[in-house]
Amino acid sequence: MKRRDFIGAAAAATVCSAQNAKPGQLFVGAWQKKVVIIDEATKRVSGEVELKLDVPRSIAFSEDKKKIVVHSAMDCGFEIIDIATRKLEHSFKLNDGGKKYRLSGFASSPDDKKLYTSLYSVEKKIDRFEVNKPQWAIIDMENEKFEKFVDLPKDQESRGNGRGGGLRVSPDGKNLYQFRDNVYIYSTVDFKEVDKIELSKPMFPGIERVQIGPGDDPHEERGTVLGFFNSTDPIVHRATFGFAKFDLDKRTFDFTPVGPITAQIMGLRLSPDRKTGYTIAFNGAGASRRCEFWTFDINSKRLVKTQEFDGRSRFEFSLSSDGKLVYIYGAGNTVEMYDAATYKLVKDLDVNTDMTSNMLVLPG
Amino acid sequence: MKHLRAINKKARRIEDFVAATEGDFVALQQNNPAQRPHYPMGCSVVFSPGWEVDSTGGTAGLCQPVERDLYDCYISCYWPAQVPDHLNNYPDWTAKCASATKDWRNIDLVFP
Repeated sequence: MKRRDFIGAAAAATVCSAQNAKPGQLFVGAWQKKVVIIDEATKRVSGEVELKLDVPRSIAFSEDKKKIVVHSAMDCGFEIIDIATRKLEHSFKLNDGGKKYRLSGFASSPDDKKLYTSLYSVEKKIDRFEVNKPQWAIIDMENEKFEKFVDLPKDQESRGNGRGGGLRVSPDGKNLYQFRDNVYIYSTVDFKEVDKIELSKPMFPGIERVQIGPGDDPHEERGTVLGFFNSTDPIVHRATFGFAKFDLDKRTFDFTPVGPITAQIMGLRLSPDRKTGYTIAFNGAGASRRCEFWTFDINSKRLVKTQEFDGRSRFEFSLSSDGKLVYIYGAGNTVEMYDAATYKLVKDLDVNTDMTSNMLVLPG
Repeated sequence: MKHLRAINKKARRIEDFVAATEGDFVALQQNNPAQRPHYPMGCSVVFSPGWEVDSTGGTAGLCQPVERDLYDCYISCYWPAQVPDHLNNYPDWTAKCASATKDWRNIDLVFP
């Protein structure tokens, strides 16, 4: 497949030193109310943090990487864990009596004092439940309450009620990016739309969506998002995928098509030097589904290696802090560790509890 | 209840046309959606995916062992009706069972 660079922007990323990569720690939410800690050096469970509220649904690092923010569905709870002491710092619930909030993703401000989220609320009345319109909201993490709600404008309600899509905050904290059918950029003060990157034109014909990771890749360049885009050409409707790179400060972007795709792919994980990327691809469905590891050379944006493996029915994946192991986890109590270079299974770790959230990787 | 009844040829042709679009049989035509399995609607609203069959009507897409699915489908999918109501009435139904594959015998029985 001939590679075409549509925008000649050099994608040379600032690299971390691969030589400095040391085994780190893994954090993953688990049934029933805890976060399990796995030591990458020994490949064993090294501890756990008991939570107060409920089953962790998603976990995220604070911007300074010193704390972990845990979100649980029950009572719209948040719990903060101090990584150094492995202790629960504080917990709070946002549900207010009969009013329950349902969040769809959140992103932290650079100073970790606020969370930006899109949500809707369900209110229990005497004779009915009222589902209210979706809103943007700011959560004050210090005072443990909602700071502001902003109703979505009419035109945003038609975009899937404004929900869904990955959220990112620009490094200066002024803009909130939402990656959906287009990339929408909002002011973090009043959620007014300040800009919109229309993906379908004029950059690349037929772009359907941009898929970014959950934002927990420790090797993602700060202020930059590197993800996949899918497009379909308007003539023969052949599906293509490629790399999409966004600079959140400068609002610049480039798209590099890689090749045709007949599969679904998961998010992208980067090695510590950001020269190699990994993802999982699926071909077929049901009994015919096949799972493959895919390895990319990031500088040339080329797919350099694929390997089929026995993937469980449902899983998530991550990459070790030194970039040498691929982790397959979720829907159960085991973490499969594969050598990233050879794709051979190294260890199947039983963490003795069912995992319920994404996995965070903290470099050593 | 059927309120309207065709009384002339044209109306009967419209009825036939509408009935034809709702049929299960797909001839050798393009542009017809692929037929998917029809699941019986039981006590829950959603059976896809379920413990019984996967979204293609087979079992290969189910988690193996099936207990792997118990918590994850409850918490991350749209499949809460087959398990106790964790959020409101039975928050401790799995308090003695961290790993469903190993400890499923310790899951509480719930009698709503």
